[in-house]
Amino acid sequence: MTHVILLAAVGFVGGAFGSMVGLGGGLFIIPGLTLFLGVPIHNAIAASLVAVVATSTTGSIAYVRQALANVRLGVTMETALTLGALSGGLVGAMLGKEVLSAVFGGVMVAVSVYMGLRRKAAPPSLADGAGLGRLGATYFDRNLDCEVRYQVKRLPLGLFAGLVAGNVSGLLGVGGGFLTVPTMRLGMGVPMRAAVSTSSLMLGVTACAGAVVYFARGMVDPVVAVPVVLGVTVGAYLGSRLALKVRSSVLVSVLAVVLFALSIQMILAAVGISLR
Amino acid sequence: MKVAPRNAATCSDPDPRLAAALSRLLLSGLSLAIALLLVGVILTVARPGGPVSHVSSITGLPRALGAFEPGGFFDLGLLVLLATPAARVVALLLAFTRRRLWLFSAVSVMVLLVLALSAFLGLRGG
Repeated sequence: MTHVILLAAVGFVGGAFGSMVGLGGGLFIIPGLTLFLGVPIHNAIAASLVAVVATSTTGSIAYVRQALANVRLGVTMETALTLGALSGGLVGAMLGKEVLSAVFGGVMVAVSVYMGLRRKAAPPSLADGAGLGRLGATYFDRNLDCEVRYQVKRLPLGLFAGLVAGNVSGLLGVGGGFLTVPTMRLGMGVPMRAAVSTSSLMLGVTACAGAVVYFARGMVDPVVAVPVVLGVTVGAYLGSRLALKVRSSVLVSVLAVVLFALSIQMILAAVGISLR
Repeated sequence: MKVAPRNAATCSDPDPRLAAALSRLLLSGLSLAIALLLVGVILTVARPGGPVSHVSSITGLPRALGAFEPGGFFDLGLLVLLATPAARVVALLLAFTRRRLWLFSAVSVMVLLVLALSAFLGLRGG
Protein backbone atom coordinates (compact mmCIF):
# COMPACT_ATOMS: atom_id res chain seq x y z
CA MET A 1 0.00 0.00 0.00
CA THR A 2 2.84 2.37 0.89
CA HIS A 3 4.41 1.65 -2.50
CA VAL A 4 1.16 2.57 -4.27
CA ILE A 5 0.94 5.86 -2.35
CA LEU A 6 4.55 6.67 -3.25
CA LEU A 7 3.82 5.95 -6.92
CA ALA A 8 0.86 8.31 -6.79
CA ALA A 9 3.02 10.90 -5.02
CA VAL A 10 5.62 10.73 -7.81
CA GLY A 11 2.81 11.23 -10.33
CA PHE A 12 1.42 14.12 -8.31
CA VAL A 13 4.78 15.92 -8.19
CA GLY A 14 5.36 15.27 -11.91
CA GLY A 15 1.90 16.52 -12.86
CA ALA A 16 2.09 19.61 -10.64
CA PHE A 17 5.60 20.70 -11.68
CA GLY A 18 5.04 19.71 -15.31
CA SER A 19 1.83 21.67 -15.69
CA MET A 20 3.39 24.71 -14.00
CA VAL A 21 6.17 24.99 -16.58
CA GLY A 22 4.43 23.58 -19.65
CA LEU A 23 6.00 20.11 -19.66
CA GLY A 24 4.36 16.70 -19.62
CA GLY A 25 5.89 15.66 -16.31
CA GLY A 26 7.94 12.72 -17.59
CA LEU A 27 11.20 14.46 -16.68
CA PHE A 28 10.19 14.13 -13.01
CA ILE A 29 8.24 10.87 -13.15
CA ILE A 30 10.89 8.66 -14.73
CA PRO A 31 13.75 9.51 -12.33
CA GLY A 32 11.28 9.32 -9.43
CA LEU A 33 10.14 5.84 -10.42
CA THR A 34 13.54 4.41 -11.35
CA LEU A 35 15.84 6.05 -8.80
CA PHE A 36 13.62 6.11 -5.73
CA LEU A 37 11.07 3.31 -6.22
CA GLY A 38 13.13 0.78 -8.17
CA VAL A 39 10.74 0.51 -11.11
CA PRO A 40 12.44 -0.98 -14.22
CA ILE A 41 13.08 1.80 -16.73
CA HIS A 42 10.96 0.28 -19.51
CA ASN A 43 7.95 0.10 -17.18
CA ALA A 44 8.73 3.63 -15.95
CA ILE A 45 8.80 4.96 -19.53
CA ALA A 46 5.53 3.20 -20.38
CA ALA A 47 3.82 4.56 -17.24
CA SER A 48 5.25 8.02 -17.91
CA LEU A 49 3.89 8.10 -21.47
CA VAL A 50 0.39 7.28 -20.20
CA ALA A 51 0.81 9.91 -17.48
CA VAL A 52 1.84 12.52 -20.06
CA VAL A 53 -1.44 11.85 -21.90
CA ALA A 54 -3.27 12.51 -18.61
CA THR A 55 -1.29 15.72 -17.93
CA SER A 56 -1.88 16.97 -21.46
CA THR A 57 -5.60 16.21 -21.39
CA THR A 58 -6.07 17.82 -17.96
CA GLY A 59 -4.30 21.02 -19.00
CA SER A 60 -5.80 21.17 -22.49
CA ILE A 61 -9.38 21.20 -21.23
CA ALA A 62 -8.86 24.76 -20.01
CA TYR A 63 -6.37 25.83 -22.69
CA VAL A 64 -8.73 24.86 -25.53
CA ARG A 65 -11.80 26.34 -23.86
CA GLN A 66 -9.97 29.63 -23.25
CA ALA A 67 -8.79 29.61 -26.87
CA LEU A 68 -5.13 29.80 -25.92
CA ALA A 69 -4.13 26.64 -27.81
CA ASN A 70 -3.73 27.04 -31.57
CA VAL A 71 -5.45 23.87 -32.82
CA ARG A 72 -4.45 24.33 -36.46
CA LEU A 73 -0.78 24.74 -35.64
CA GLY A 74 -1.08 21.90 -33.12
CA VAL A 75 -2.51 19.36 -35.52
CA THR A 76 0.01 20.37 -38.20
CA MET A 77 2.97 19.81 -35.90
CA GLU A 78 1.42 16.58 -34.61
CA THR A 79 2.16 14.95 -37.97
CA ALA A 80 5.89 15.23 -37.26
CA LEU A 81 5.56 14.59 -33.54
CA THR A 82 3.62 11.34 -33.95
CA LEU A 83 5.98 10.05 -36.64
CA GLY A 84 8.91 10.76 -34.32
CA ALA A 85 7.15 9.18 -31.35
CA LEU A 86 6.34 6.05 -33.31
CA SER A 87 9.96 5.51 -34.32
CA GLY A 88 11.18 6.41 -30.83
CA GLY A 89 8.74 4.00 -29.20
CA LEU A 90 9.84 1.13 -31.42
CA VAL A 91 13.54 1.80 -30.78
CA GLY A 92 13.02 2.44 -27.05
CA ALA A 93 11.31 -0.89 -26.52
CA MET A 94 14.41 -2.62 -27.92
CA LEU A 95 17.21 -0.69 -26.15
CA GLY A 96 18.95 -1.85 -22.98
CA LYS A 97 18.19 -0.16 -19.66
CA GLU A 98 21.71 1.23 -19.22
CA VAL A 99 21.63 2.91 -22.63
CA LEU A 100 18.17 4.36 -21.97
CA SER A 101 19.20 5.69 -18.53
CA ALA A 102 22.32 7.32 -19.95
CA VAL A 103 20.44 8.92 -22.88
CA PHE A 104 17.73 10.12 -20.51
CA GLY A 105 20.31 11.62 -18.17
CA GLY A 106 21.99 13.42 -21.05
CA VAL A 107 18.69 14.89 -22.27
CA MET A 108 17.90 16.02 -18.73
CA VAL A 109 21.24 17.84 -18.43
CA ALA A 110 20.42 19.74 -21.62
CA VAL A 111 16.92 20.60 -20.41
CA SER A 112 18.08 21.76 -16.98
CA VAL A 113 20.75 24.00 -18.55
CA TYR A 114 18.14 25.43 -20.93
CA MET A 115 15.73 26.09 -18.07
CA GLY A 116 18.46 27.73 -16.04
CA LEU A 117 19.49 30.04 -18.86
CA ARG A 118 16.16 31.00 -20.40
CA ARG A 119 14.86 34.50 -19.93
CA LYS A 120 11.38 35.93 -20.12
CA ALA A 121 10.76 37.73 -23.38
CA ALA A 122 8.01 40.04 -24.47
CA PRO A 123 5.50 38.54 -26.91
CA PRO A 124 6.06 39.48 -30.54
CA SER A 125 3.80 42.24 -31.70
CA LEU A 126 1.86 42.23 -34.94
CA ALA A 127 0.37 45.30 -36.53
CA ASP A 128 -3.42 45.46 -36.58
CA GLY A 129 -3.64 45.38 -40.34
CA ALA A 130 -1.25 42.48 -40.84
CA GLY A 131 -2.71 39.14 -41.92
CA LEU A 132 -2.45 36.12 -39.64
CA GLY A 133 -1.68 33.67 -42.43
CA ARG A 134 -2.94 30.10 -42.52
CA LEU A 135 -1.68 29.17 -39.03
CA GLY A 136 -1.66 32.50 -37.20
CA ALA A 137 -4.12 33.24 -34.43
CA THR A 138 -5.34 35.69 -31.85
CA TYR A 139 -6.11 35.29 -28.16
CA PHE A 140 -6.83 37.49 -25.20
CA ASP A 141 -3.98 37.61 -22.66
CA ARG A 142 -5.46 38.33 -19.25
CA ASN A 143 -2.10 39.23 -17.69
CA LEU A 144 -1.35 41.76 -20.44
CA ASP A 145 -5.03 42.76 -20.63
CA CYS A 146 -4.93 42.90 -24.39
CA GLU A 147 -5.54 40.83 -27.47
CA VAL A 148 -2.40 39.21 -28.83
CA ARG A 149 -2.14 38.55 -32.57
CA TYR A 150 0.63 36.52 -34.10
CA GLN A 151 1.77 34.87 -37.31
CA VAL A 152 3.47 31.50 -37.39
CA LYS A 153 6.88 31.58 -39.07
CA ARG A 154 9.34 28.90 -40.16
CA LEU A 155 6.94 25.95 -40.13
CA PRO A 156 9.63 23.58 -41.53
CA LEU A 157 11.76 24.35 -38.45
CA GLY A 158 8.78 23.49 -36.24
CA LEU A 159 8.16 20.24 -38.09
CA PHE A 160 11.82 19.26 -37.74
CA ALA A 161 11.79 20.08 -34.03
CA GLY A 162 8.54 18.12 -33.75
CA LEU A 163 10.14 15.10 -35.34
CA VAL A 164 13.06 15.23 -32.90
CA ALA A 165 10.81 15.94 -29.89
CA GLY A 166 8.48 13.10 -30.85
CA ASN A 167 11.41 10.73 -31.20
CA VAL A 168 12.75 11.67 -27.77
CA SER A 169 9.22 11.33 -26.38
CA GLY A 170 8.70 7.80 -27.69
CA LEU A 171 12.24 6.79 -26.77
CA LEU A 172 12.33 8.17 -23.23
CA GLY A 173 8.70 8.52 -22.19
CA VAL A 174 8.73 12.29 -21.80
CA GLY A 175 6.31 14.73 -23.43
CA GLY A 176 8.75 16.65 -25.61
CA GLY A 177 7.47 20.05 -24.46
CA PHE A 178 11.00 21.07 -23.45
CA LEU A 179 11.82 21.19 -27.17
CA THR A 180 8.52 22.24 -28.80
CA VAL A 181 7.86 25.20 -26.46
CA PRO A 182 11.21 26.97 -27.07
CA THR A 183 11.07 26.19 -30.79
CA MET A 184 7.62 27.71 -31.14
CA ARG A 185 8.53 30.67 -28.94
CA LEU A 186 12.01 31.47 -30.24
CA GLY A 187 11.95 30.04 -33.77
CA MET A 188 8.36 30.36 -34.96
CA GLY A 189 7.20 33.64 -33.45
CA VAL A 190 4.49 32.12 -31.26
CA PRO A 191 3.92 34.00 -27.96
CA MET A 192 4.92 32.09 -24.82
CA ARG A 193 1.40 31.59 -23.54
CA ALA A 194 0.15 30.20 -26.85
CA ALA A 195 3.30 28.06 -27.20
CA VAL A 196 2.82 26.44 -23.78
CA SER A 197 -0.90 25.86 -24.43
CA THR A 198 -0.42 24.47 -27.92
CA SER A 199 2.45 22.28 -26.73
CA SER A 200 0.28 20.93 -23.92
CA LEU A 201 -2.39 20.03 -26.46
CA MET A 202 0.12 18.31 -28.76
CA LEU A 203 1.82 16.29 -26.00
CA GLY A 204 -1.27 14.11 -25.56
CA VAL A 205 -1.26 12.85 -29.14
CA THR A 206 2.54 12.57 -29.18
CA ALA A 207 2.68 10.50 -26.00
CA CYS A 208 -0.31 8.47 -27.20
CA ALA A 209 1.61 7.35 -30.30
CA GLY A 210 4.46 6.04 -28.14
CA ALA A 211 2.25 4.70 -25.35
CA VAL A 212 0.17 2.61 -27.74
CA VAL A 213 3.31 0.70 -28.75
CA TYR A 214 4.16 -0.06 -25.10
CA PHE A 215 0.51 -0.84 -24.23
CA ALA A 216 0.08 -3.26 -27.13
CA ARG A 217 3.28 -5.03 -26.06
CA GLY A 218 1.98 -5.47 -22.50
CA MET A 219 4.65 -3.17 -21.02
CA VAL A 220 2.19 -0.81 -19.29
CA ASP A 221 2.07 -2.37 -15.82
CA PRO A 222 -1.24 -1.28 -14.24
CA VAL A 223 0.25 -1.63 -10.74
CA VAL A 224 2.68 1.18 -11.66
CA ALA A 225 0.72 3.15 -14.25
CA VAL A 226 -2.64 3.50 -12.48
CA PRO A 227 -1.38 5.19 -9.27
CA VAL A 228 0.91 7.43 -11.35
CA VAL A 229 -1.95 8.46 -13.67
CA LEU A 230 -4.29 9.21 -10.76
CA GLY A 231 -1.56 11.21 -9.02
CA VAL A 232 -0.55 13.09 -12.14
CA THR A 233 -4.14 14.08 -12.93
CA VAL A 234 -4.65 15.64 -9.49
CA GLY A 235 -1.18 17.24 -9.64
CA ALA A 236 -1.75 18.73 -13.09
CA TYR A 237 -5.12 20.12 -12.05
CA LEU A 238 -3.71 21.80 -8.94
CA GLY A 239 -0.44 22.80 -10.62
CA SER A 240 -2.18 24.70 -13.39
CA ARG A 241 -3.94 26.79 -10.74
CA LEU A 242 -0.90 27.17 -8.46
CA ALA A 243 1.18 28.42 -11.40
CA LEU A 244 -0.75 31.67 -11.33
CA LYS A 245 0.42 32.38 -7.76
CA VAL A 246 4.10 31.46 -8.04
CA ARG A 247 6.71 33.64 -9.71
CA SER A 248 7.69 31.70 -12.80
CA SER A 249 11.35 32.80 -12.69
CA VAL A 250 11.78 31.36 -9.17
CA LEU A 251 9.97 28.18 -10.14
CA VAL A 252 12.06 27.63 -13.25
CA SER A 253 15.32 28.19 -11.34
CA VAL A 254 14.38 25.65 -8.65
CA LEU A 255 13.27 23.13 -11.24
CA ALA A 256 16.50 23.56 -13.20
CA VAL A 257 18.59 22.71 -10.13
CA VAL A 258 16.40 19.70 -9.24
CA LEU A 259 16.49 18.39 -12.80
CA PHE A 260 20.26 18.82 -13.02
CA ALA A 261 20.77 16.85 -9.79
CA LEU A 262 18.42 14.09 -10.97
CA SER A 263 20.13 13.93 -14.37
CA ILE A 264 23.55 13.41 -12.80
CA GLN A 265 22.10 10.65 -10.64
CA MET A 266 20.52 9.00 -13.70
CA ILE A 267 23.83 9.03 -15.58
CA LEU A 268 25.70 7.62 -12.58
CA ALA A 269 23.04 4.92 -12.18
CA ALA A 270 23.50 3.99 -15.85
CA VAL A 271 27.16 3.20 -15.17
CA GLY A 272 26.36 1.32 -11.98
CA ILE A 273 27.11 4.02 -9.37
CA SER A 274 24.35 4.61 -6.84
CA LEU A 275 24.40 7.61 -4.52
CA ARG A 276 21.63 6.25 -2.31
CA MET B 1 -8.12 30.86 -14.79
CA LYS B 2 -11.33 32.33 -16.13
CA VAL B 3 -11.65 34.38 -19.26
CA ALA B 4 -14.67 36.46 -20.00
CA PRO B 5 -16.97 34.98 -22.67
CA ARG B 6 -16.22 37.84 -25.03
CA ASN B 7 -12.67 36.63 -25.25
CA ALA B 8 -13.74 33.24 -26.54
CA ALA B 9 -14.79 34.94 -29.74
CA THR B 10 -11.18 35.91 -30.37
CA CYS B 11 -9.95 32.35 -30.25
CA SER B 12 -7.31 30.89 -32.51
CA ASP B 13 -10.03 29.04 -34.36
CA PRO B 14 -12.82 31.16 -35.82
CA ASP B 15 -15.50 28.94 -34.30
CA PRO B 16 -15.75 29.26 -30.50
CA ARG B 17 -18.27 26.42 -30.51
CA LEU B 18 -15.54 24.12 -31.79
CA ALA B 19 -13.27 25.13 -28.90
CA ALA B 20 -16.06 24.46 -26.43
CA ALA B 21 -16.87 21.11 -28.04
CA LEU B 22 -13.21 20.02 -28.01
CA SER B 23 -12.90 21.02 -24.36
CA ARG B 24 -16.01 19.02 -23.46
CA LEU B 25 -14.71 16.02 -25.38
CA LEU B 26 -11.39 16.07 -23.50
CA LEU B 27 -13.18 16.47 -20.16
CA SER B 28 -15.54 13.58 -20.93
CA GLY B 29 -12.73 11.25 -21.97
CA LEU B 30 -10.59 12.08 -18.95
CA SER B 31 -13.53 11.76 -16.54
CA LEU B 32 -14.57 8.37 -17.94
CA ALA B 33 -10.98 7.08 -17.81
CA ILE B 34 -10.46 8.21 -14.21
CA ALA B 35 -13.84 6.72 -13.19
CA LEU B 36 -12.90 3.33 -14.68
CA LEU B 37 -9.48 3.40 -12.96
CA LEU B 38 -11.11 4.25 -9.63
CA VAL B 39 -13.56 1.33 -10.02
CA GLY B 40 -10.52 -0.89 -10.54
CA VAL B 41 -8.90 0.54 -7.41
CA ILE B 42 -12.06 -0.09 -5.36
CA LEU B 43 -12.30 -3.68 -6.65
CA THR B 44 -8.62 -4.25 -5.81
CA VAL B 45 -9.11 -2.99 -2.25
CA ALA B 46 -12.34 -5.00 -1.86
CA ARG B 47 -10.75 -8.22 -3.12
CA PRO B 48 -7.10 -8.13 -2.01
CA GLY B 49 -4.66 -10.93 -2.49
CA GLY B 50 -4.51 -11.67 -6.19
CA PRO B 51 -1.97 -9.92 -8.40
CA VAL B 52 -3.36 -7.24 -10.70
CA SER B 53 -2.29 -7.93 -14.24
CA HIS B 54 -2.98 -7.06 -17.85
CA VAL B 55 -5.95 -8.59 -19.59
CA SER B 56 -4.27 -10.74 -22.21
CA SER B 57 -6.12 -9.27 -25.20
CA ILE B 58 -8.80 -6.79 -26.23
CA THR B 59 -11.20 -9.68 -26.79
CA GLY B 60 -10.65 -10.73 -23.18
CA LEU B 61 -11.82 -7.35 -21.86
CA PRO B 62 -15.59 -8.03 -21.84
CA ARG B 63 -15.06 -11.23 -19.86
CA ALA B 64 -12.77 -9.48 -17.37
CA LEU B 65 -15.24 -6.62 -16.96
CA GLY B 66 -18.14 -9.05 -16.55
CA ALA B 67 -16.21 -10.90 -13.86
CA PHE B 68 -15.40 -7.57 -12.12
CA GLU B 69 -11.67 -8.22 -12.40
CA PRO B 70 -9.69 -5.06 -11.47
CA GLY B 71 -7.30 -5.64 -14.39
CA GLY B 72 -10.19 -5.31 -16.84
CA PHE B 73 -11.20 -1.91 -15.48
CA PHE B 74 -7.57 -0.74 -15.34
CA ASP B 75 -6.96 -1.72 -18.96
CA LEU B 76 -10.22 -0.20 -20.18
CA GLY B 77 -9.53 3.01 -18.23
CA LEU B 78 -6.04 3.30 -19.71
CA LEU B 79 -7.40 2.57 -23.20
CA VAL B 80 -10.05 5.28 -22.84
CA LEU B 81 -7.34 7.70 -21.66
CA LEU B 82 -5.14 6.89 -24.66
CA ALA B 83 -8.12 7.15 -27.02
CA THR B 84 -9.07 10.63 -25.82
CA PRO B 85 -6.38 12.60 -27.75
CA ALA B 86 -7.16 10.49 -30.83
CA ALA B 87 -10.85 11.31 -30.44
CA ARG B 88 -9.90 14.99 -30.32
CA VAL B 89 -8.12 14.63 -33.68
CA VAL B 90 -11.21 12.87 -35.13
CA ALA B 91 -13.37 15.76 -33.92
CA LEU B 92 -11.00 18.23 -35.56
CA LEU B 93 -11.09 16.22 -38.80
CA LEU B 94 -14.90 16.42 -38.85
CA ALA B 95 -14.85 20.14 -38.09
CA PHE B 96 -12.25 20.91 -40.76
CA THR B 97 -14.09 18.79 -43.33
CA ARG B 98 -17.41 20.47 -42.60
CA ARG B 99 -15.77 23.84 -43.25
CA ARG B 100 -14.03 22.51 -46.37
CA LEU B 101 -10.57 23.15 -44.94
CA TRP B 102 -9.13 20.31 -46.97
CA LEU B 103 -5.48 20.90 -46.09
CA PHE B 104 -6.14 20.61 -42.36
CA SER B 105 -8.49 17.67 -42.97
CA ALA B 106 -5.65 15.88 -44.75
CA VAL B 107 -3.23 16.74 -41.93
CA SER B 108 -5.68 15.31 -39.36
CA VAL B 109 -6.01 12.12 -41.39
CA MET B 110 -2.21 11.80 -41.43
CA VAL B 111 -2.03 12.05 -37.64
CA LEU B 112 -4.74 9.41 -37.25
CA LEU B 113 -2.95 7.12 -39.70
CA VAL B 114 0.29 7.35 -37.71
CA LEU B 115 -1.61 6.56 -34.48
CA ALA B 116 -3.21 3.54 -36.19
CA LEU B 117 0.21 2.46 -37.46
CA SER B 118 1.56 2.72 -33.89
CA ALA B 119 -1.15 0.39 -32.64
CA PHE B 120 -0.59 -2.03 -35.52
CA LEU B 121 3.19 -2.19 -35.07
CA GLY B 122 2.83 -2.47 -31.31
CA LEU B 123 0.44 -5.40 -31.63
CA ARG B 124 2.57 -7.09 -34.28
CA GLY B 125 5.68 -6.83 -32.13
CA GLY B 126 3.89 -8.02 -28.98
